[in-house]
Amino acid sequence: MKSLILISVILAGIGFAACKTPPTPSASVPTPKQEIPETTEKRPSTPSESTESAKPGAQEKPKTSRTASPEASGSQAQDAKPTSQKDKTASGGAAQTSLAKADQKSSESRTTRPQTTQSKLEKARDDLRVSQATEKRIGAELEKLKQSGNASAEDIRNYEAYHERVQAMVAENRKIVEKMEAAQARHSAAPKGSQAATSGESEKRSDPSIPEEQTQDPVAALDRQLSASLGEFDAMLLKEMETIETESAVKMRDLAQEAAAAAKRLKEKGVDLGSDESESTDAESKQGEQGEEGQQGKAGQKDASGKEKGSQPKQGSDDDAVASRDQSKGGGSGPRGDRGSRYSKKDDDIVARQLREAAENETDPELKEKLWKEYEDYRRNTQ
Amino acid sequence: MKPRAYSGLLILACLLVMVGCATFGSQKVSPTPIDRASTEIPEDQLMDVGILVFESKELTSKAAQKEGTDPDIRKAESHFVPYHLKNALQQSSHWGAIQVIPAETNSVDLLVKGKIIESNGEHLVLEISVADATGISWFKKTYSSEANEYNYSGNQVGEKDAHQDLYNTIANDMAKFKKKLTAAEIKTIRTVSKLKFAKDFAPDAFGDHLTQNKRGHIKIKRLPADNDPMMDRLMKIREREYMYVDTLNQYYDGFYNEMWPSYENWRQLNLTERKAIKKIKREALTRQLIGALLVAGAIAAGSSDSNAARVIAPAMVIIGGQVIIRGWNISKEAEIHSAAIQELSESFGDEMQPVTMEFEGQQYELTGTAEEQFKRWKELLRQIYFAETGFTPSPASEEQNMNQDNNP
Repeated sequence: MKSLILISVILAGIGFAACKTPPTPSASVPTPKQEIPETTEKRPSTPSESTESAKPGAQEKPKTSRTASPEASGSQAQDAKPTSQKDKTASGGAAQTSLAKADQKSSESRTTRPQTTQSKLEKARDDLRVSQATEKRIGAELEKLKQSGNASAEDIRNYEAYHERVQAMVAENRKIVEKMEAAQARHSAAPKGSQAATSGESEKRSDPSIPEEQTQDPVAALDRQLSASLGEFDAMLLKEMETIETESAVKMRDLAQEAAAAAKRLKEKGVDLGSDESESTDAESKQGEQGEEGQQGKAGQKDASGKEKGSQPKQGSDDDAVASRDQSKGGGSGPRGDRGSRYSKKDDDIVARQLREAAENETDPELKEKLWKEYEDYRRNTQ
Repeated sequence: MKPRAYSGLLILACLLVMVGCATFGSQKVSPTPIDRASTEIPEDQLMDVGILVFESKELTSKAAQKEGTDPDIRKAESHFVPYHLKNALQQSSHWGAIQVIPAETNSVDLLVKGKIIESNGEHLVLEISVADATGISWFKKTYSSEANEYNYSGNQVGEKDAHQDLYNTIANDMAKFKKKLTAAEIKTIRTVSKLKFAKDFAPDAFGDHLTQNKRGHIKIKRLPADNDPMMDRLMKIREREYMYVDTLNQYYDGFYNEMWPSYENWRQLNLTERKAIKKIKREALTRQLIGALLVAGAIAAGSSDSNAARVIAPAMVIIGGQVIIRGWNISKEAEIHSAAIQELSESFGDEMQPVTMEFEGQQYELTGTAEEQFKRWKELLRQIYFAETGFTPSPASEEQNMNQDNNP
């Protein structure tokens, strides 16, 4: 048993040393796993500012939209915003009234805090990048563990389960990035569309010709009805999307809990989860600072990422929200502001940052307490 | 040579052929990497793809048992399989927006329809047909794949399935056809798709922009004017339809992810049991054949002139009989595995039933709401058209409008 532990430690150390070098696509991760992240990021999003916070009335999901063929219709209110391989372009058909108002609100929010929305998107992208790097690393270590022939079947199972959880978290992070990019594209398109439509409307109204005015009134009224109806539909869809995202956040939290439990089981068996102090840790520290702005959906997601099960040879790996549940220590019931203050945010890896964010954003006091405890236990064990 | 000896030899020959058939292995699945676009495709060359929820013939319990599945599982698969195909198409990067749709729509440039012929963890057989918005059929093929235990390792939700090669093949075939199209043809398909949508929502304004020949192929008769305000409105509505489909696909995504772990488990276990059954049956058949061979040999020996042969004949009969019985007992073990398959399938089917019902309920609610809205918008557009143009609706138009109201 001791020899097994020793061999596992040696292997983890070798893996850690290997992972200190910049990761290359030829790392020992099966090709399909690598190719997919590259594919989904293939089409760049247009660098327009948008925000996921401008949800009310805003159109977040332009995934199936595309530009009109100009030679076919000459439609004006169409925007080209290829955000990911799922999105084509958004036609900027913002509803006249409620949607335009919502877009104006979002424009205002963008005007007042442009850095926040863009930085949130960047943070989400960083999260995704780091989690992908971690997933690759864990995959490589799992392979090494299997090939070493020294690990027990149970250890391998735990590691595999852990790996699966990390993969699930990568998938969730990817979805979040796609949604944010889509929302950004939609918001950058919508104001242009609404402005164009608004100017068109005002031109119509200013027409002095009496017969045209007479015909415009019923048309304008019907247009307003149509716009109002479109706005209602947007609101209904946004509500649905929010429901789905909430469920996704819950799922991410569960994933993070399971991952943490799995990591703890492995630690108890003496498998060294290791630590990777390379880019993933640095990126996560940066993200940890940005993440302090706190979004509930994100918090849930971070929670989920903290629930990595399986072994993690790299201690500082960011995706591992490994919070070994040390029941005896850490945490009492200190005041909210004090919890975690003994640990510097800058030293948080992705796991710790996600646990911290989840704890800060959690409203349920019991769950908040548990999350803080997990965070402290994790920090204590990784120091 | 005596007639009995000839009979014995004939029996022996037949038995050897049957033994050969019993041990014949199944065809391996060939690895098929997905054909990814090597360069980024310009936006105006991207085609939106709609994958219709797959059909599956209604499975009776008996038919499901025979196939090694369950009616509830098949129902869930009719949503799962097209969603995984969507993921495979996305990986190829040849397409624009790819969505699973519950019903045919004019919002897509390319429509993929599928039918699940067989699916039980070991075999997956799909019939796929692809047609574009102009009504031209790209292809209609049946794809089959057989998995082994290695296909179930390293799978990733949304990315790699045990039958990934089958999905890759479908995606590659679609990409292959698309590569043959010229830029002008793709543009035409996109335009026709847009005009079909316009015609559907505002038939009074755009009813005569397209023509259809006897073969069902659609051509553009005329294009709308630049800056046509009605077309602007329609594009806004089209955006909403895209958003609605996006939302639906979020539900599909949730359903797919929820189903994946148990489904993967069920397929893998099913495969194991099916392989075990095949192995056992082969073994049983072999033994039975050997036993029959011994008995046949004993008969031949018994009729032989040789004293030695006549002496061993009874022993051969006894041994042959015992071997046959043992073969029969072994084949009984196969029934145990069959029962295991049935139990697995029923259990997984029961697990999926509430999940599928909840998912379909969510979909139905959203679809019902969306369809009501679409009806309302069609009516508004109609009123706007007649208010803008000053035309009065023709009797045919009134009748068509009434039909649309009665038959949503």
